[in-house]
Amino acid sequence: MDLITAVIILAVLGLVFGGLLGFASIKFKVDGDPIVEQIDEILPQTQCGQCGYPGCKPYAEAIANGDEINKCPPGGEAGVKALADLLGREVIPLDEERGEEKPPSVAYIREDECIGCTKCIQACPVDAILGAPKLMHTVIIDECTGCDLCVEPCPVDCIDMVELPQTISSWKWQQPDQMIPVKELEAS
Amino acid sequence: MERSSFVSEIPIYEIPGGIHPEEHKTRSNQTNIRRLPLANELVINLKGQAGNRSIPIVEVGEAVLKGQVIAECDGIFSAYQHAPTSGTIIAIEKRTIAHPSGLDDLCIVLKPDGDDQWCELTSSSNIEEMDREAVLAQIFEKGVVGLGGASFPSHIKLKQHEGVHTLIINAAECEPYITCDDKLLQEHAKEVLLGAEIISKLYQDINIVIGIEDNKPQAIDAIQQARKELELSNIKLGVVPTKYPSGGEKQLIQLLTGKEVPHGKLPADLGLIMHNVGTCYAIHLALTEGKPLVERLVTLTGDNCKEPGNYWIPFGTPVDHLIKATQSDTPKRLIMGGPMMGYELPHAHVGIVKATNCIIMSADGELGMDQTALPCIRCGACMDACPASLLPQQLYWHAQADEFDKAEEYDLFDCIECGACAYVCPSHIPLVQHYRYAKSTIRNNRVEKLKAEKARERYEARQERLERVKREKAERHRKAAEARKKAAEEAGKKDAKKAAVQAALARVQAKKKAQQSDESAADKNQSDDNHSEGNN
Repeated sequence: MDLITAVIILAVLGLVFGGLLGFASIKFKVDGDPIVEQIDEILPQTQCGQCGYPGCKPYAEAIANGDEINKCPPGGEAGVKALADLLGREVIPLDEERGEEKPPSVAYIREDECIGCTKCIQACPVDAILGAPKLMHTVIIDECTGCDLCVEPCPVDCIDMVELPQTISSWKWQQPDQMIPVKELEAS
Repeated sequence: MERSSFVSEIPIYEIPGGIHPEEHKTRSNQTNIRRLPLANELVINLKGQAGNRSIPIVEVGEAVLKGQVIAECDGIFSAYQHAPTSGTIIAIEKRTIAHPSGLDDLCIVLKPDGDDQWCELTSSSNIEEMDREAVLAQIFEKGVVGLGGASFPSHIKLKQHEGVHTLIINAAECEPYITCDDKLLQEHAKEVLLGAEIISKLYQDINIVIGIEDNKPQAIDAIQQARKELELSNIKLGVVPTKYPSGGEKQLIQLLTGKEVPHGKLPADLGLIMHNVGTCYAIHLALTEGKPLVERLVTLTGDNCKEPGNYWIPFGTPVDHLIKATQSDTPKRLIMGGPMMGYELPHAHVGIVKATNCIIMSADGELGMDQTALPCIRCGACMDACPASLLPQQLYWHAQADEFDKAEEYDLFDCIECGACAYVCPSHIPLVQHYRYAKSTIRNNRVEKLKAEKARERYEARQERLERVKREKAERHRKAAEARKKAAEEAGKKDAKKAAVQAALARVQAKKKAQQSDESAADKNQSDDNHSEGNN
């Protein structure tokens, strides 16, 4: 008798908890992969495609599916480190084939030479170029991510990548030297 | 230094930490306030206040009169700039500005004509009759910013008036070397008190407290005297013991009220508002005489300064002119601000700004900044010295290791960068520099994060748009095809017989064509065969 009671109690408990879990899995279902969102947060959103994917989100998805974390030059070493921290992977050096870490820059159109072909407008991943067919185009500096993608399609080569100059608002204090002072002793 | 025996009229509370560095104040507060000859050119920094850069409204070559507006506000969080003297605008260009970075920024360069002629001043006839908005507007238009050091636009600080019950006038001036507030009170206590009165009129039922350190006995006497003459018995004097940094906003509030401004809150949330004595003086001038803020009292001091003292100096006066005019030796180190919180200038051709309260022309070894940093020995002296009750040692470790989120957990942003920790550090670690590095990196990272966020939004919006365009195009094609089909069907229904006849005709034609093509195919096959034979 005791045996049957125990079995029944366990079975009922199993059913109740199973039901609860089943309910929770439907009610609190997470849409999409949260890890992809977190990886996407870390990526610099230049949308440059240097990683071989058509944008930062696709690369984030690829990383979540096991791709290497060192394919993003604009994110730099700091980006690799942040990704490694998030995913519990080893910190590896940047993949040199993908390009190197460059100082922040923006595209600049030499407006006299622009023929108004709209090719750069179509290439810009963040709609940061303004213009219309046969009319001059220009870059909205504040929106440009410096991805380089507009330089290649330009038939008259009138787009330059210009390094952003340091301003009072972008300036930051330098870290004080942390070198252990070295004293040179005279040879005896 | 001499201490005042005056007993504070309000109870004084304690602050944690603090240090007692050598004061070096007697060097510059023994002489009366003086003026120096005008410089050959004034370099007026358009970002001379907290907030947005002012927008120049004059052109190169234009003649201006003293007090004329030369740059307008960019939004509310900015300030007007006025010509500090009469003369000609000779350039609007990038020059080195008074900033720790030593970078260039947009400046208006004015060549004085020597007449120092004021423009027409619009003074208000009766302050009593002006309403709150009018007083604020006048303060705004006269370019008044906080002269204590942060240059925060005064009209913004004065805007909030709900629940404010105490106005604190900051005359503590706790930093070594600096004596400009002290001298201002000694010689212009009346004007300062009248300025405080004007501010107090903006609020209902407000108490006025002047917070001052006891190392300024003459200034305390001057305030008492002025208070008696002006019959302003509502103004209370809070005399605090001399200790650095009792003049910090939060520290002085704690000393005078016993309350701590909570993390992430403003003094106004406690019903308090604080203004510097210099600001009160400027507000008084702006309202009674209509004079805009075009000059300020600056302490010139340091071992290499041959005529130390306090001088009225028009904004934009280059520091090298000050060195020359006081016949001083070339300073070893040129510090703008005090020895604790000031910063080194990259060279002397930098115009003074609204925040410049002191220039230290130091001699070799005077400031003791050259000591090599040694490893931290975990003595905890910095913790005892911190007036904000932080853990400087922990902040240092985390800032050094770039662990910014941890540094933030230890309330890095509550650090007022007073330098007390670095002062007591037996290993001479430049602690404040580490904190500044961490703070500015965190701020930059935040900006970058925001920018990335925006880029992501734009990218996603674009992707969505491209999808939509594709979908719409497909939809259009589908619809057009359907319409064609329908039209054909309808045409077919209407004239079924005709269609049948046409279909029959078409069949016949098709047959004929097929026959023809069969024949030609046969011909072709034949010729192909011939070819292949020939090849063989």
